[in-house]
Amino acid sequence: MNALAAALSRRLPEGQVVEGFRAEQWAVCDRVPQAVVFPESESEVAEVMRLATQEGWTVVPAGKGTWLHGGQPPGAVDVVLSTMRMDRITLYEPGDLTVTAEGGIGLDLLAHRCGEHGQWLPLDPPGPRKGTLAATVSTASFGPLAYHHGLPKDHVLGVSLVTGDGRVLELGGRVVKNVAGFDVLKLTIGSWGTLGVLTSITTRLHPQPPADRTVLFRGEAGELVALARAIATAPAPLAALEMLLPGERERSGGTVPLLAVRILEASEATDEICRIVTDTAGASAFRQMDGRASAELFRNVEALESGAELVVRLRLLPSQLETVRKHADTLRELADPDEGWGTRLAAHVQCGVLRVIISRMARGEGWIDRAAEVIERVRGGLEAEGGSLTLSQGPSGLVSAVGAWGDAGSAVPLMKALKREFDPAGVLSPGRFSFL
Amino acid sequence: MSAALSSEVTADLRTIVGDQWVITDPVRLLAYESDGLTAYRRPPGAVVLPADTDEVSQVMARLAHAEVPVVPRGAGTGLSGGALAGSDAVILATPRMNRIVHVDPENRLALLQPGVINADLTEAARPHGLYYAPDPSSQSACTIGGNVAENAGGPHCLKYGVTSRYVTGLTVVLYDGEVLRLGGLGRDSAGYDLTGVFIGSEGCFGIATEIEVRLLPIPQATRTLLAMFDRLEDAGEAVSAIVARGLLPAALEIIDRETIQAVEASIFAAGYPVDVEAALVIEFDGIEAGLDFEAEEAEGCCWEKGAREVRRARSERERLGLWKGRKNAFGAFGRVAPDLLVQDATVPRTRLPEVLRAISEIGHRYGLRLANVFHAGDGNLHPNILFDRTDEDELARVEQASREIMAVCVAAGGTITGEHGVGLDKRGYMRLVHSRDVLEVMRATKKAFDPWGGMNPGKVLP
Amino acid sequence: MNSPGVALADALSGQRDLLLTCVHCGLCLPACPTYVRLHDENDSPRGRLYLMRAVVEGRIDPAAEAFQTHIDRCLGCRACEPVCPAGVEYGTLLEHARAVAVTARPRPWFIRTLLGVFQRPGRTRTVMRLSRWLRASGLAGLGAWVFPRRWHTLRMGLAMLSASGGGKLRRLGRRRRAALPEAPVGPPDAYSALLDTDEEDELRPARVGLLSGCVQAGLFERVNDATGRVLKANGFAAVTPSAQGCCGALHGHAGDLEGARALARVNIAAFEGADVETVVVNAAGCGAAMKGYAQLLADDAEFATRAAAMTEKIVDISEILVRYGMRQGASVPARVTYDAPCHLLHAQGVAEAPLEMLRSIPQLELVELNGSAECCGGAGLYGITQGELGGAIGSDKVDAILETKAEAVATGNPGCMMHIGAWLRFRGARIETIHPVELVDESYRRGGLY
Repeated sequence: MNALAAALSRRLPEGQVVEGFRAEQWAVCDRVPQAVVFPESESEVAEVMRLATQEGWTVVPAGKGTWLHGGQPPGAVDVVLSTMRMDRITLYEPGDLTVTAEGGIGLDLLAHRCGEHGQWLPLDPPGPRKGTLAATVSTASFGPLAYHHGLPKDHVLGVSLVTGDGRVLELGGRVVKNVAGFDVLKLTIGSWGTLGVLTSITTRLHPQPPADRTVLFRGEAGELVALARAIATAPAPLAALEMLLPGERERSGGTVPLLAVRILEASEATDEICRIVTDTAGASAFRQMDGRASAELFRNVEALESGAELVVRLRLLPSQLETVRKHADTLRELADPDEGWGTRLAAHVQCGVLRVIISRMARGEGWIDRAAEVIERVRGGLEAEGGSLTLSQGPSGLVSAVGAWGDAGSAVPLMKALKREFDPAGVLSPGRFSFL
Repeated sequence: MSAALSSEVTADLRTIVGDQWVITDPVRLLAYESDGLTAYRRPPGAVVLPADTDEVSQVMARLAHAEVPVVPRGAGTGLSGGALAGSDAVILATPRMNRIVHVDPENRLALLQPGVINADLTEAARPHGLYYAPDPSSQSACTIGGNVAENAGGPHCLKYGVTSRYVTGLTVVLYDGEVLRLGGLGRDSAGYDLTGVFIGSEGCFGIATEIEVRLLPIPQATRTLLAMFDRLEDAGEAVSAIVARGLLPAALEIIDRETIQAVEASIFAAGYPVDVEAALVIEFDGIEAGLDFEAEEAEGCCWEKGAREVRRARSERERLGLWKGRKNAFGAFGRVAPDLLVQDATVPRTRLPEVLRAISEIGHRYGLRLANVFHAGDGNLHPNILFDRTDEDELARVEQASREIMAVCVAAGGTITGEHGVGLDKRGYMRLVHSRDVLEVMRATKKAFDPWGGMNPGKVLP
Repeated sequence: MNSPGVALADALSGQRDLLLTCVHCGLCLPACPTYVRLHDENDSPRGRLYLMRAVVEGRIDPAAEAFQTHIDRCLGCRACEPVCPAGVEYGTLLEHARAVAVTARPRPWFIRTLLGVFQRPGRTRTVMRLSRWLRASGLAGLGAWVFPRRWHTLRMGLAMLSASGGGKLRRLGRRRRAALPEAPVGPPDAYSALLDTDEEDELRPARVGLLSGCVQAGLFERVNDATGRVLKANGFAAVTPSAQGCCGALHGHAGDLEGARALARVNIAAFEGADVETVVVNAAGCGAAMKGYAQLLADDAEFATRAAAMTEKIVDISEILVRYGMRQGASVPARVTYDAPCHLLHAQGVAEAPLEMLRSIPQLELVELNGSAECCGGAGLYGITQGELGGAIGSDKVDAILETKAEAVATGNPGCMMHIGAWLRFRGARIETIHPVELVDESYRRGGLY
């Protein structure tokens, strides 16, 4: 056992520390940690963080390890702290439409438990459903439901956060309206494990929709963009509006480009919304899916990124979807046309987000540099129009070279000051935000 | 006027914004010594009324240079004394910055200056079939800048959420005059959610000079019900039953007998019966089809819990009448008692009945008149204490009772303010809800935005 | 604080209970035309009430420049009253504040002179005769045109006088009349049928009093004549007691409460003598003032009850016509917009009646005026005394009127008619300013009802 793992073992109950080859599968963006810890309580998390600060070990918080290759690679990874053993629901009062759970609870388990009371948390980030609540909140990940139902920041009411130096902060609360003091909670949502470890989270819940329907339109990409824009401005509550353009190799297999309109309302209202949608579209739907089939379709949307080597998020205003699509087409040259599906495009139409999902990148001499050059060119183009390009995942070398995020602008000194407050020794996920 | 606010400084301010937009006459400053909470009176050293981001930046830089604190003020409708400045400080008021830069129906966005009145934004969006969702009771007067500072709520946040959900981007001026652009719907911002943490910072971080907000399509239809109960608890239970049935009304509001009587005595009398213990307003909105079913379900819940009478608004006029009474309750209290303390706290919805009982018991014990108005759907209570300031004994009892009410709410898992903010008024209660470490982190967060300590000093933190 | 200040404050202190109802909520701010333009809270209803309160509390001297300026700058439009959740009686408080302010610092000479003129019917008649001559000779219009802008008071006065001259009603809608089929006029017996309605027979007054007013009688005789004819056509016999005088509104607004009370007593006695249960007023400002007689004379031992009874009798011309149903005349196919006088809409709460009255005219195209509920800036003598601000407000009103592309703007108050008319003239706009009842009268005339 290495010294670091040994020191941790002395502080934690047996079986909570793992090292060696078993730590290899917890490599974060190819960086293998010296130890992985699985604390079972908040105080154990605090203990680990105090020790790390004292010893200067770098710690990367994780959940179930389903997305360790995502985002900007941290500079160094001594310890991976997984909260996956902290997966209890600690307070659930259905009448309050809120639930408090430990950070390591899987979204699937949470959905199951709330579903028993006819309630749900409308979060559908990309990736497997077993991914944890803390990981979703920490990365502020969202999927097709976000525009209508809200982003993680709109659902989360309170968290317990263990800071870099082991302080336990109860931020926010468990009530839906709360303005008692500065909303520091918001800083932790999307902080990518750089401010602390989320050990407990309270979120709002919603009544489960009585009906679930998806209306599908098909056509060529250009037509679908126009259709999508028209439907997006229809005066009706749409739960999701996704444009799904399959990869080249999927197309040759017969898969068609689709526009999926999801409606989650009472059944009478659903019929009416369908009518508004088809009226606005001026075209008849190609298919309609109800209930389980509709849910299944969107489950597949969540899984679109799985197995991809490169995922790039392009974003502009929703009305600029066609411009974004043109930028996305530029990125197709990064894909190996003979591997996997090629290049998929998937857009959250209402948010103006378009994901470019590349199965496998084209190799060859200097491929990383070439790819970096293409990506930077596209990023420059988008930023010039007020948009952004983010690398959700990709080969470490590439992500390190271009940076997962674009320019953070003049707010960087302010963010640095905030980071210092939560993590004085700078041990939490250093380098996750390259500009800090 | 303190030494810090010299005539030299005010002369420079006049040069920046124009002579007529700086107020220094002590008589004229009296109008600014209170906001919507009259318990505190502090005349500022000066009031300055800039026109745009650039002027704000110059004003702030000048004041920072002279180390004069700045207090932002919108329409002065706030209820926590957050917009008060001492004589050594300057109020920076936003009424001149009242331009709606554009409404963008394609993206359902609007870009505005902070002095735009909440209701005016909805009015401007209406021709496009859109509206701005957060609707605090003072929406006809309060500004979006103030809404951002307080993270304002309103009766419809049960379904639609509060201000932070609708603000997508900000231009912010810090104390030293630096201009930061945060967020924006059309991009993924790198790093921490500074937009999110700025919202609700009560003017302690900086001042928002441009605000990008999301708009929603106007719901196709609404159904409004008014249920009358002979027991306040029954109204609370009807709310729980509605939620348990999986219904999500746009609003669930309860007003108690004392409030009904005050409203009915005012010019906004909405025709509520004055002898019931509680009136519950229930509103559904959305697609016309199916709304009747939801309304009937909710009506059923009310009958089940012992409602004496349930009315349905038959026209838009009747609907507005029901709301008008509710929305103007606060002002109507002016008729009933010389002074009013509007309390604000939130508890988990299921704890409402017991908390209401405890509050009523506290009122009895201190011999005070309490009137309850609350957003029952989200557990946000407004126990209003009616009193006479000139009666010193009563004033002391009001303060005691307030503290006990806060303690009861916190003990029930709630918090000390749901939508009015901490301001000057509730700093003393902050320790009831937050640990020393959390307060320290809040202090540090302020310091990251305002290392000089010049923004709205003495507010929020104990 | 000097002692005269304290003594003056006592006058306002009597209104302490009214002042305390203001809970400082701020809902009145956006309703106030001066706050919306000046952005200073001292120029808002809440700010002005706060200044009054500060006087009562002895914190400021009523002679203070700030108190004088901000109380002076109030239009008195009372747009703040309907939006006040606490029901603060702002108009009443303002009159008291003005009284205090005037005692602390007398008004300028021309205001005092003007008020003095309206105090005596004889003087009023002389001045009005002179004014009519100025108007008829075209000198008023010429003066308004040639005098430099800095002579604001004179220029504005002359422009308003010139604008009181009356519109070319007979031409209204002529362009389009040819294209439209003539709407049927009610049958000749409609008049008697109207009187036959059984339930209302008892309630319907056969005789009503009519306030002739000072300015109205002097410069707007045609409106009074139209009112008389329209009332008659609808079966009301109008009597105008000769003992009546100016209603006292201008005096009250200017803080001369004693002057206002004296005139109120005269009018109460005059109309009591006429033995009528209803007194019809066609000038919004006068109607509001007379509906306020009860409040004004509440402390008068002899007149308190009589004033209260008088207040009950006052109705606007639009109210009485709409309440009892009105006859239909011939079509007037003109595009017309309506501006609500503050003292009808805010002070009397009469919003729909004038619109209904106009809608009853066949083929009249009534277009909504943006900001109709906002003051035009005339506000009695305001347009003259507060030239710059009154001008800015008047100019905005004209912009809104031009936007409607209407041929005429109707508004039921002489002050508003003159102020809007003056600003339309300054802008060179050819839009008639008329009283709504004039349109009804024209419709009746075209229909051969008289």
